[in-house]
Parts: sequence; structure tokens; C-alpha cells
Amino acid sequence: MRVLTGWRLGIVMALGLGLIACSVAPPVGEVAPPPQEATPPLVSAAQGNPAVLALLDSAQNQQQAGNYEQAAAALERALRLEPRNAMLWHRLAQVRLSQGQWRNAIDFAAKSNSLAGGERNLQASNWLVIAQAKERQGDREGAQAARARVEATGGTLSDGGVE
Amino acid sequence: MPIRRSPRFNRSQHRLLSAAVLWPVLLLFGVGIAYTLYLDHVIRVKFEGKRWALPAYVYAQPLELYVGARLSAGQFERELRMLDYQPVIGTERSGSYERHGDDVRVTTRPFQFWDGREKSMTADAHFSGDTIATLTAADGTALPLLRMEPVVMGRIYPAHHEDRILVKLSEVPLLLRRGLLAVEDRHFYSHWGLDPRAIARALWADLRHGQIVQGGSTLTQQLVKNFFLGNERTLWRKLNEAMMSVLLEVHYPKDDILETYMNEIYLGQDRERAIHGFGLASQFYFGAPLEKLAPQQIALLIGMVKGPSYYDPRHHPQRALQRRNLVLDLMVQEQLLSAEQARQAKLQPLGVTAQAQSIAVHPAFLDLVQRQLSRDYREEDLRSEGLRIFTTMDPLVQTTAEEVFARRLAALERQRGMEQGALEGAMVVTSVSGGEVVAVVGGREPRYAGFDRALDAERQVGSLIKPAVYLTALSQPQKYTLASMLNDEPLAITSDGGRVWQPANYDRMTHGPVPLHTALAQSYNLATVGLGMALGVPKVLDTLHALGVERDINPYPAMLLGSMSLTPIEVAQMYQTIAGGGFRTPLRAIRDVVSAQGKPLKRYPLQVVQAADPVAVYLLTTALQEVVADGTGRSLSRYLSADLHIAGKTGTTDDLRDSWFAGFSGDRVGVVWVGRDDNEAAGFTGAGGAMQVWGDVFAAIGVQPLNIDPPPGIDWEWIDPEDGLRSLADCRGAVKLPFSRGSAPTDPAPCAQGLGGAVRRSLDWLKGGSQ
Repeated sequence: MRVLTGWRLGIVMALGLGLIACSVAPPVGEVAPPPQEATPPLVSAAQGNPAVLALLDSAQNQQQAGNYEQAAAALERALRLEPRNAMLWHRLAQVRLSQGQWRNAIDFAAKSNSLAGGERNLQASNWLVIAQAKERQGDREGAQAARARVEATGGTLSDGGVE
Repeated sequence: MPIRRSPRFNRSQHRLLSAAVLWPVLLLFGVGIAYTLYLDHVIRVKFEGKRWALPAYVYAQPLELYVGARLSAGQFERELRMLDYQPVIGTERSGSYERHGDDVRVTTRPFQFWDGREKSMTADAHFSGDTIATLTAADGTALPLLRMEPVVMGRIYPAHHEDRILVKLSEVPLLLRRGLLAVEDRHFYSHWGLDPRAIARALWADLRHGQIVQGGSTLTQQLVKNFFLGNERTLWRKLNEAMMSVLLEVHYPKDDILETYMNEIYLGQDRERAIHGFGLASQFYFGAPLEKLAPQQIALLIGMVKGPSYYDPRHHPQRALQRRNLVLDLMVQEQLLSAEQARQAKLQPLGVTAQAQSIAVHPAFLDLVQRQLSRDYREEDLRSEGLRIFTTMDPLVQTTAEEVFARRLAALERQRGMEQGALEGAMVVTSVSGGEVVAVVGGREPRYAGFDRALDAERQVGSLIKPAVYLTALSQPQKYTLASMLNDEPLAITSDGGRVWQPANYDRMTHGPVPLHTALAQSYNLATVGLGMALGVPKVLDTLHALGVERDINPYPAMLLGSMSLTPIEVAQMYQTIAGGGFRTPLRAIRDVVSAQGKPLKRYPLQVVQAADPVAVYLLTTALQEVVADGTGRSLSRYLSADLHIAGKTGTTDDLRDSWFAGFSGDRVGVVWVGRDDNEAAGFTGAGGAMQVWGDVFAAIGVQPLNIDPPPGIDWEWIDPEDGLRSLADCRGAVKLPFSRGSAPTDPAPCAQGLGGAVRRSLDWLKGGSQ
């Protein structure tokens, strides 16, 4: 049995048990709009594993120095520690985008999205990578559709060096 | 060359002379020059090229230490032993460790990886159960990550299985250098390749005995002889050797020749591996680098040059000792040692390590590595360039899998009263995320480099194929969901040729209408064939290819029940894609390759290709978890806790010839095949045979639970298993299933209708259940 979650408990108190007994299930969407998240830096997805953070740092430095394969190697190393870390897959997509490997960039971004759960900022960034890669592939329609998905996620893009 | 005419001869005399003498002389001279040039060419090519023929070193994946890593102190120590780290107390020497229970202090050796060099450092790790709790540097600061050097898992040898560790002349201890010259060639720095005094002495000895008994060879001659590895002692050979020696001396400085000699000279044999050079001999006999050797150890190595097998200190310690002491005496004569030093040295034992430092041998894995390498490297480069090959093998998983595998097969044989050795099998283990192959078991005798069943045994896969059928269905959410009702009823399929195929269930029963997820979990054949025929066999084949099975498969209906044969590694690729959430990652056994000098050469990067809809794969995965929780794989709970939520599928073929299990945890994918090489009945179902091995191995290596966050676009609903309709949490027997958004059934099951349904719905909502 699940424990009553906080906001549901509150509603129960407000409405009273008797009322519920004769009601149909109330529309869920209205009661508690999810709080609008501030836009944290994307790196927060690494959630504090110092080993992964150290490798993300190293990847960042290598990428800025133009050593893309070294950056990718550091990210792959991090992925061995945290295989389901959507942020790492996203960074790998960015590196491949920088290298002009459009196909790989799209696949890594899609992989990241499949693991991104509720991380809307990350999803938005992934769709942006896909849009940019498709543009460069000459797939205008695909790029446009991907851009629409950027909006649809409701996430906010960080400036994080996507181009 | 112009010939000068001599006026003293008349024309006919001259003609006679030129015909009888001059032309043959000229011809001989020409042939001689040509032959010398040829020898010159041969010896130069040899000296400059082949003298550095180095085997490729093949490494396992390095251990990464970090807080939270799943590793026990015992496992860590096991890895340190594989790396030949020495247990010490109170010192911090490179390549040593000190363990007190759950605390380990390790001082690493430096190591050159593809992406950079790891320096030697001292670190303290504290373990808590099977994880690393803290990791600090020697100065007490927290260490985020420490990469150990990797274990050598194999070598790919040059043609004659030579191995060596190159040393520079400047690194060679003076005692070795001067001692060697004193014993083998005291005039090395003054002769021109040959030493007439030594030859005369040797000739005299040969003449007295009427055969060749003594070589008066200089180091240069010995080097030439070593280059060509022949032992025949013909005069012609000796002549060639002598000429080449002189030619070498013409071309190269003495120090170059001496350095090459020191790296080339044959000094022993380790099974099929030939020990060349003092650098490797030092490691091989004493387990220490050359510069760390004591005088008596140096003397032993010098003494062994004369006959490495005759004076082998492991097999003939008495002879070796005598020879060693003789060399020590000579060192005193030459004033390289004082008499007192020599006396002390003679008191020491031989000091050879108990047995040859053995490296782990995993021929099945090495086989996979070589196949991948052969796409990018020529065989001869692999065998001579000293490449450093970094593989994905996890030594802890590989060795555990090998041990457990052999033990479990023997137990299965005893259980059935079969003769020991009748069963064979294979296993492949990969990492879920990167498609890295971490272990390959090619048979029950892992040291035997024979038939590699993991890569080459093509066996009928049976029900292992079914996930491809169900994934094809679940990829059409508007038509199929996990709750869709299928009919498990007798059917007959007529082929184009008029033949009729009537499949049956394993239990020879029919089960009527069953939900799709149950049909997979219970592996019902009739429901699966019915579904597959409705989908279309070619569509199912498309799914199978997308999952990574590359071979051509005939589109016969019988393929829906796995009539085709695949190798274990092909099956691993297929399940890898499912475990990867629908993203196919080509299986890899190699991460990167570095040159002998540490220069990065080639990298095999991680790649993913989206092969199936992640939502559909998620649905399939929950059904595969049901296989283990409540289906044909139930008995896996003997080995692995239900909390691990393992996903998997059993496979059994006709007459119980093949027993398969393929499945995955949160971090590992594994495939096991068990059967007989002669394809006779082995007598096991997938669950009774292969799954037992699988469970035993996965329990022993310690795996992470399979808790997947659903991808975006999944809704959970309560379903009535009787009719596949929308149900409620409080309804008897209701099961909660995931659906692709908008595909869940909307019609209420009887329990969810009317007033009772409304009350239950409200209670559900209160509990935070369905929304």
C-alpha cells in the first residue's frame, strides 16, 4: 500500500471524507500544478558523484581545447560509472555535434531523452541538438519538427555551448 | 672493370688465359660481390627491422576506484594479486598494498593509457561491505577517482612466440654489461666481428674431437645466429655468420650491437613463450626489473647465456648454481667484484621466483579480441609492433564466470546421472550501457583454446526469439498492448509447398484466451504463432534485424518459435538492444589501442543506434521481468532475489537438445547456452539447465537491480487479467500494467462498473494509484 502523499493528504482534509464517498474521481490536472522549476545548470543531473563530476570537468576541458575524442573518452568513462545518467549521454551528443557526426549526435540525444524522465531542461537541450544535426544533414522538415519539440518540453535551454 | 692488355702475351696466349682463368675468376668475383651485397641487405633489414619484434599486450579493463563503486576489499585484493602487487607492511613502494580488514592502502604503478598517463600514487580505500566507502590520497584529501593499471589478459606473439622487455644499454647495470663481456667475448670492443684468437682456440678443440664442439663466437656472431634462429652447425652456415658479423660491424657502432644483443639473446622458455633478452629474463626468473638485481642474480643470467635450458635454474638448480658461482669467480678475476662481495653473493640462494609469473589465460575472450582486431590490423603488425590493446574484459567477472560455469555444469550432470563431461556450454556477459563484452566462456574448460562455442556454436534458439515477435506487436500500440487478449488455440499453417505445420505448446495443452504479457511470460507457443502470423513473418524478421541479428533468416513461419540457429554472441547482441532500451550498441571487446611507445593509435568509440521505440521496449521489458517473477523463469529466485527485478527469457528446443537463458540486470546482459557438442538430447529445459548456470554466475558476480525509469509517454493502469479490460486496484486479481500513452483499454471490467467501481476509483485516487 502506498503512503498518502503530501498534497493528496491536504486535499483529503479540505474536502472531507464524506464528500469523497459519493463523488467521482476529481479531475487530477487542476488540483496541484507542478511548481515551475527554476533553470538549474544542466550539470546538476550528475547528482554529486564526485568521480562523474571530475570526468565531466575533464570532458569539458578537452572539448574546449578541441580534443573531441579525448572528451568523448572521458564521457564514456563516466557512463561506465553511471550508465543511466541522461546528462552524460547528452554531453556525448554535444561532442559528436561539434565533430560534425550528425547521425551519432541524433542517436545520443535520443538515448538521453529516453532516460531523461522529468528533466525538461535536458529534454529541450536534446531536441535542440537533434534539430541542429538535422539541419546540417539537410533534413529541414525533421529539424523543424525537432524545434517544435524543444518548445513542447516546456524546458528552458541553458547556454551550455550547444552550437 | 677494364682489363689491361699485357704486351708480353701474344694474342692466342691471351685468349687462352682469358678463357681459362680470367672469366671464371671474374664470374666468381661478381657472384661473390652479389652474394655479399645480398647478405648485407639481409642482415641490415634484420638488424633494423626485426630486432624490435614485440608481442602485442592485451589488457583487461582497468579497475576504477571511487566512492560508491561496487567492490569489496576481498575483490580488490584479488585484482591486486592479478596485477602482481606485493603485500607489504609500513612501506609505500610502487606496486604494493597493505590490507587490514576493510582498509587497503595501495601504491600504484604509473601507467600509460590511451587518454593519458596515470602517475604512481598512494591512496587509502575503506570498504563497507561490497562498496567503497571512502577514498583518500596519502595527504588525507578526498580522491574523486583512481584508475588502476589493467591486468594483462593475454599476449599476441610474433611468429616464434618471442617475448621481450626492451632495455636501453644506458639502463643496464654495469656489472651485467662488463660481466657479460668477460664471460662471452672479452675482446668485443676491439675485434671487427670475429675474434681470430677465439676461433683458433675453438678450431683446435674441434680438431681434437673430430667434430664441432666449441664455438669461438663473438657476441656479434651470437647475435647473428639468434637472428636466424637456426641451430645447424654446418661450415657454410658458419661462413655466412662470419660474413654477416663483419658486415654488421661495418654498419653499426659497437654499443648498438651490444644493446641489440641484450634484447635479442634467448634466455629460456615459458610454455609456448620464448624468453628473449635480459629485461624479460629478469622479470621471468626474479620477478623484478633488471636494475633491481643483486650481483648473484646478474651472474646467474650471464651464466645462462651458454645454455638456457641446460642451466635452467628452475629445472636444474644445482647446475645453475655451479655456473653462477663460476661467473662470480670470473667477476672477481676481472675486478668487477671484490672477493668479499663474491663470497657473500655465493652464500645466497638462486633467488628465482617459485614459478613463472603466469598471466591469466582466457583464449575464448582473446579469440573475440583478435577477430575484432583483424578488421583493422594486419596479422604481422599485431605480432611484432608491441601494440598495447585495451579490452573490455572484466577480470573479476571473467574468472568468476569460468569457475562457476564448470562447477555448475558438473552439478547438472550429477543431478541427471549423466557421465561427467557430456555437457558443454557457452556464456557471454556484456555491460548494459556500452555494449562492452566483459566475459566470454567458450566451453567448460576455459584454458583450452579450442572450439569457441560463444562465438562459433550455431544452435537453435527456440523461444529466445519470442521477444522479437512481441516487440513487433507492442510497437503498434493502437493495435497491441500488454493487455491484448491472444488466443492460445490449435492452429495449422500450410506452406506454399502444401506442407502443413501444426505447432504445439511445450506442455501439450491449450490455454484459450490469454493476455499478451502472460503468453510471453509463460512462453505459450500457439498464442505466439497466432500473433506472429497476424503481424506477418517478414515484419518480425525486420524487428530481429533491427535488434542486431545480422544473418539472413528464411521467412518461414517456424522461425516464430526459433527454428533458426544463432551463436550465443548473436543472441547477446539481440538482448543487448532490448536491455539498452531499444538502442542498439554494437558489441565491442576493445576500447583502444596504443603503440609500444604509448602513442594513442585507434579508438573504438561507443555508438548507439535507435533500433526500436523506447516505449515499446519498456513494455517488453516489464513482460520479460514477469517471465522471471511469475513465468517460466520463476526458479531463478533460487539464486537471485526478486528485488533485483531481473528480465529474461528461457529457450528450449526439440528433444531438449538446447537449453538457453538470456537476460539482464540493471548493469549486465548475459546469455548462456547448454547442450551437447554432438547435438544429441541434453535433457534440460532452458530453466532447468542454462538458467541455473546464469543465476549462479550472476549471483556470484554481484549485479545491480533492474529499476528502469519509464521513458516519457508511459501510463500505468489496473487491468483485469480475465478480459484485458480496465480494472481497479481493489478488484480481485487486478494487475498494474504500463501502456504507451493513450493506448490503455477504456472499457471497464465488470468489477470497475457501477457504484462499486466509483467507490473503488475514489479510493484508488486517494492512495495515489491510477490517475
